[in-house]
Amino acid sequence: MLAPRSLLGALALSLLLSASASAHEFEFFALLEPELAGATGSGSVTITLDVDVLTMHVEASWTGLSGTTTAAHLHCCTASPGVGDAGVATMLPSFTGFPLGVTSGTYDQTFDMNLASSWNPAFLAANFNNVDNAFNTIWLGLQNDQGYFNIHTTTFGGGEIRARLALVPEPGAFTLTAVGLAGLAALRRRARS
Amino acid sequence: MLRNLLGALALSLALSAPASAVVIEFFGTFGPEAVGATGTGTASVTFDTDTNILTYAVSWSGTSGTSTAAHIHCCTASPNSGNAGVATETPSFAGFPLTVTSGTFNASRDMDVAANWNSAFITANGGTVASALAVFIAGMQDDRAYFNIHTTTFGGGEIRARLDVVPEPSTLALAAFGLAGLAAFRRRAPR
Repeated sequence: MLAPRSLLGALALSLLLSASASAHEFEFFALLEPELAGATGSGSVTITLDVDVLTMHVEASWTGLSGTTTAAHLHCCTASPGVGDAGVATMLPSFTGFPLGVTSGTYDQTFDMNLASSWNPAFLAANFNNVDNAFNTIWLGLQNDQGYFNIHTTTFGGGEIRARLALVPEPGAFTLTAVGLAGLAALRRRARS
Repeated sequence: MLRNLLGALALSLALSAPASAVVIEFFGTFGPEAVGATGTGTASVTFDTDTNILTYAVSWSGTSGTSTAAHIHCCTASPNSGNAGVATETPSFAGFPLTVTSGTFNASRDMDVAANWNSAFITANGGTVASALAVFIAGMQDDRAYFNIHTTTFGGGEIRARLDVVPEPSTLALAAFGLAGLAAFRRRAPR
C-alpha cells in the first residue's frame, strides 16, 4: 500500500517541479540604495521580462532622495556582476511617465520592447539594431546580475539610488514546491497512521 | 446535351471540392531571427477542420543553447514579421524535447480542449476554444503565426518557423482532373 502512494507522490512532485521549469516571465528585484557618499534614499524595483511577447514591466517605489528626480533608466550590462557602471539600455531621456522633480514616488509601466522607441538608440545599435538581440542582452545580463535600475537626481546627476537587479525564483516554483512537499508530508502522515 | 450537363456537373463538383477541404497544411523552415542565434529545421502543422485536431511534425538541430520551451505564437500585427504572444499550451508543448540542441516532436492535439491552448490566448480571443480557434486558424492562414523554440541563450526564441499554408496536393489534383474533363469535352464536341 505504501509503495504505490509514495510513487504517486513522487510522480506528482516531479510533475509539479518540471512544470515550473520553463515559465516565460522572468522577475528581477532589488532594493534601491545609495552607492555614493552623501546620497540618500531607499525603495525597491521589480522588473518583469516576458520572453514570449517581449515586454518589460517596471514597478518602482522610492523615497528620501536628497535631490529631486531628473531621470530613471535600466542600465546594462556591467563588466562584472553586481558592481560597476554600464550604459543606459532603455529609452531616453527617461522612462515615459516616470515622476520627475520629486524626492519620492511610485511608478508602474509596461513597455513593448519590440518597439525601437523603448530602447536607448545607442544600446539598440550595439545590439545589431535588432530588438530581439537587445532584449536578449538584457535578459541574459539581468540573470547574471549585470543590470541596475538607476534614479538620477538634481544632487546626484550620475544616479542617486540604484537597484542592482537579481532574478527572483519563480513564485510558481515556490508554490509548487510547497504544494509538493505538503503532499509528501500528508503521504507520510497517512503512511504512519 | 445530357453529356454536356453531366460533364459540367462533374467539373463543378471537382472544382468546388477544394473549397471545403478537410485538412489545411502549414509549413515553415526554422531560422534564427536574432544575430548570433543558430539552428535549422522544419515545422509542419496540419489542421483537420472536421475534428479540430492539430498535428505537429517538428525537427531541428544546431541551436546555440539548449531548448527551454516551444510554442506556436499568434498573431503578429503584420504577416511574416514581429513577435506575438503564445497561442498554444504552456509552459511548453507537453513532450517537446527540452535541454537539447536538436530533436524531433510529433504530436496531435484536439483544439476543442482548453488545455491545449494558452489560457491567455483564449481569454484575449473571445473566451472560448471555438473563438480562439477561429482567430488562430485565420492568423495561421494569414502568415501571422510562427513556431518558436526558446533556448538558454536566446530566451525570446532562438529559431522560428514562420508558418505558411501549403497548397493542397488534392487541390492541384482536382484542378488537373477538371481540366482533363474539359479537354475531353472539347475533343468530343466537334462530332
